[in-house]
Amino acid sequence: MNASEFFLNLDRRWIFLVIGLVVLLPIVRPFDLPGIKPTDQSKNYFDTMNAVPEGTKILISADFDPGSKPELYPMLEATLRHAFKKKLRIVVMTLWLTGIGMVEKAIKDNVAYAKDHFGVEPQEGKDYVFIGWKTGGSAVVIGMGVNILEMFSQDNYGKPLAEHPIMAGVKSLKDFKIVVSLSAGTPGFKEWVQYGVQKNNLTFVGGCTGIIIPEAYPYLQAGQMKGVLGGMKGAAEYEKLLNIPGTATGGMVALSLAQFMIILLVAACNIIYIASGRWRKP
Amino acid sequence: MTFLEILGIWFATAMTLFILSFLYKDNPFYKLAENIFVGVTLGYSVVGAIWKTIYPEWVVPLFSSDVGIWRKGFLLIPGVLGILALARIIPKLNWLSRPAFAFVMGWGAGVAIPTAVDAFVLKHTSKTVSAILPGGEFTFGAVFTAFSNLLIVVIVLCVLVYFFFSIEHRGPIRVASRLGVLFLMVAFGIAYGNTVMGRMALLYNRFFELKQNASGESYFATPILVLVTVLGLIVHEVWIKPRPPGTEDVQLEKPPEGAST
Repeated sequence: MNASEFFLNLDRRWIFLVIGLVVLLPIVRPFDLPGIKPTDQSKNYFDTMNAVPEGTKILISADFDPGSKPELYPMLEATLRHAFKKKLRIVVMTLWLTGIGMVEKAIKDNVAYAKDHFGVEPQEGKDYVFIGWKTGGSAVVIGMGVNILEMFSQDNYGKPLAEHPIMAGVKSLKDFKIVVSLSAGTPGFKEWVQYGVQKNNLTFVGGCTGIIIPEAYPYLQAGQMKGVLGGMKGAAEYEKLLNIPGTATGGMVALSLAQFMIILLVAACNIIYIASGRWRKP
Repeated sequence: MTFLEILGIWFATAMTLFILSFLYKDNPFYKLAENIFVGVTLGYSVVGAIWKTIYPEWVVPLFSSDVGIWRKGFLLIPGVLGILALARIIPKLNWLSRPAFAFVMGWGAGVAIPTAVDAFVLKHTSKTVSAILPGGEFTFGAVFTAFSNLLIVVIVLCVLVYFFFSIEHRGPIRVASRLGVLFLMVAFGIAYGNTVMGRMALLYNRFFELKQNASGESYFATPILVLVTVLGLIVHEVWIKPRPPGTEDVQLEKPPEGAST
């Protein structure tokens, strides 16, 4: 067996092992790579959030499940930190049932973070509220465009939503200055654009997993989304703009190494394949 | 850390390792984790739908004295439709589910089609086409935007031509069709690259949590469970793994010298 046959018949588990080690390396021995440069769409997300004055009410819809946690949870954390730092008033919800636990944890952790790092003490009900999940996807968005309190009569913990001071003066989606959707698929940013943004003329920004980010660009170009964060890279760019490094910034080293290794493997396989002369055979 | 939190960490670590063990080969640990995942997801969804929607939004108002008779009447409609939809699982009565599905499809089409045309077709088309010949200042940015929008129009047309089989792909149609394939390949390449990035992010996240769970605070969940998984796989491979009849290792006799192979 010559070298090209050896590589072309290599057990793929060796490749899994190499990729695993490459991803593990920066976790075991952390190191930095050259800086993250934010793209225009990430800057637009940041600028939209940054432009609103203190006390403004915003809606964050965390439309993802644990399967998309590595990419979207850092975006949720960074968005909450940004909002708490700017003393915005936040209503948080999810269109994904399996997102409830993550949203609860993100709020709890970042309320504590805001106390420690920004010197603010966000109060539940006054500065933020988690209204939870409701089945229906697009129907929920349509319903919220008409009357939020009819759609969500209680918060996530069973307390009547109307009793929270933050909901005073909030009737529909139009009463939020910004709507944010961190989306892993359906229901997600498309439902928000189709049934929320278009109908209610909302200022809308979003975050998506890397897989669906190409689908978001037409909405960005059409002005239906003001800014968008794409995958872990987008989350790391937002953390960079906020100047608060989080898990996405750390993850980008591993992701860059893994991507580099995959490109190397694809190139090596093609070179070996061409060199072997197999491509000439019918 | 409470006992339940530690139990959760050990469970999450074990499930991660069991699922990753599939990279070696299919095995009982992987099967166990896979079945638990499916069961928990289904159970969680059903319980969530009952306690977060059906109970507070349907059962409570239906039996509440504060809710008027008209509203209760309206509440009965989705309840009846929901029960009819369940008739799908009984073969003799599955025709009863048709009104429920017809309602859902009719509502969906009525709500989705007008908004989809406006949000996805008209808005995107108008923004793309209007920017091909931009008004105002003649700047590099404006020219670049016009060029990229023109490119979008050309790419869309080429891809549509590739899927248009009513005429033979010859001459200029063939050129456009071939370009369409190339643009599709570029799109698939981008999608593949993004998918790989997403999967790597998942792997990073699991490794990151495995490292966190390796500390004394988590009672060394990761190293202990790695050891258990590896030993389990060895035991399964060497002693337990069942072999179907007729697949025992057979020592082949050496062919006689000079015989053709």
